[in-house]
Amino acid sequence: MKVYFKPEGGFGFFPGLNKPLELNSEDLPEDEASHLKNLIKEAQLFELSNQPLGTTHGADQKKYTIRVEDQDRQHWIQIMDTERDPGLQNLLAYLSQKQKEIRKMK
Amino acid sequence: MCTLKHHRHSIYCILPPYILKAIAENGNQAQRSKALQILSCDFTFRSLRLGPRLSSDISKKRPTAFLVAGAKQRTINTANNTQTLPGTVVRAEGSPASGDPAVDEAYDGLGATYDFFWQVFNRNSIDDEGMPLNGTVHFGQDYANAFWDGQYMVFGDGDGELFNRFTLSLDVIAHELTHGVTEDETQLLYSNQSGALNESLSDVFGSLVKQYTLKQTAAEADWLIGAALFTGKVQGGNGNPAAIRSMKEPGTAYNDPILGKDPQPNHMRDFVNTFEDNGGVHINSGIPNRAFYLAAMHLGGYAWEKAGRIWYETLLDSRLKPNAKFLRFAELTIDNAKRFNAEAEVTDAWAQVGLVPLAVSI
Repeated sequence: MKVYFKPEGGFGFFPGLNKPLELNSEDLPEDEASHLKNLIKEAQLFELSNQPLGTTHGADQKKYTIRVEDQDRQHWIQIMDTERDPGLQNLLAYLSQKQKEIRKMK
Repeated sequence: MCTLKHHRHSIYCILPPYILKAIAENGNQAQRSKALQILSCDFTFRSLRLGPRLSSDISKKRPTAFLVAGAKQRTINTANNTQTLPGTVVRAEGSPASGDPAVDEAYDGLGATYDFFWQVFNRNSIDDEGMPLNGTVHFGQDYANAFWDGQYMVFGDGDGELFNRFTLSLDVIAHELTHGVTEDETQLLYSNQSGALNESLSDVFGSLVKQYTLKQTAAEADWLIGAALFTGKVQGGNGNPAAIRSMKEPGTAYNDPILGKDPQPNHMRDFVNTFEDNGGVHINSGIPNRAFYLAAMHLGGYAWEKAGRIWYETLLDSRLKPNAKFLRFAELTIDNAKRFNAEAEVTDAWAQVGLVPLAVSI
């Protein structure tokens, strides 16, 4: 399973923080790969609509694109920080933390 | 959904979303594809229906009969490090300081911004009808951002690594409230040049609130946005401490190994065409930001008295349309500057960033 994660927006544009994260479950430790797969399952990501988010109200909000490729299927969604679904919140928290960890390692 | 003329597939009819989701999960390739297509249309229509409902909810919540012009109505909530809005109330208008710096900074910052708009422009809050000011602090875990969601001004605590809490900078609080003012007056579309104008207006009035509070002239002001937001780990540009943006010298606010270099242009020749950041709204705002700085410097004195007034009159100008581009905004500021005998100064400010209107078409 491959996961692509791209944060965008916010109060400012910072080139170094807007780089996409790409994860391949085969490159992760077994426990973490299993955790990631569970997060995606619990978020029911493949069942969600993938309409691009509009910007009719508000400003400076962050939005996140998450794309998952798994065997013969792939799907992408966009969510915002005010997302209320606990499954999506958990997935977003994991990917944000992972991106921060990888940034620190560089 | 059921109005296809030549072919009516049963899936286009009255299937509720949970059945469509089941098909999307368990159906064959073709069924999954159709179900996802319908779910996506369904989401669009539900969102469209929700829009007017939300707006009417907001207007119902405004107790306008009890509002007094010039009297603030602030409520600060805490999200308790969750991502749920609005959170729970921790400080209401007139109550004493809470002792929580984020709560008290948000309360004071929204108050200073309200006072600025009232005392300088006689504007009564976001909608000029005394709309209550609702802020939420402690949003999310290590959340390094602040935003306006159409109802609430929301502030994160920062990640402690690169960003401090977002209530630390008064201009950031004023920036978010100004997004509400802009949304109420012109609904500048939040993408490309109109979005960059939207962002620039928030920086302009954000900076003016800071200058007004500090009683600084244009020459004395630092013209930095979010000067307190970065931790000491972030490197500034040109040997200066780091900030989020510089209105005086766009492109020089930071130059850091992790954040990268401030990407703001200060002239139209360096305009950035991009799909990122809603078409560069926080990038190309550097151009109108610098035009405002130059106009304020040309006019001298307190920037809110002339340059700020001209930009505010332009924000209220019915000729400013939601899809306005930089050149149209420049034309209108020049036209509005005539009433303040400032046409030459404002024209020159725009010319220095590469925007030269041929003539103002009314």
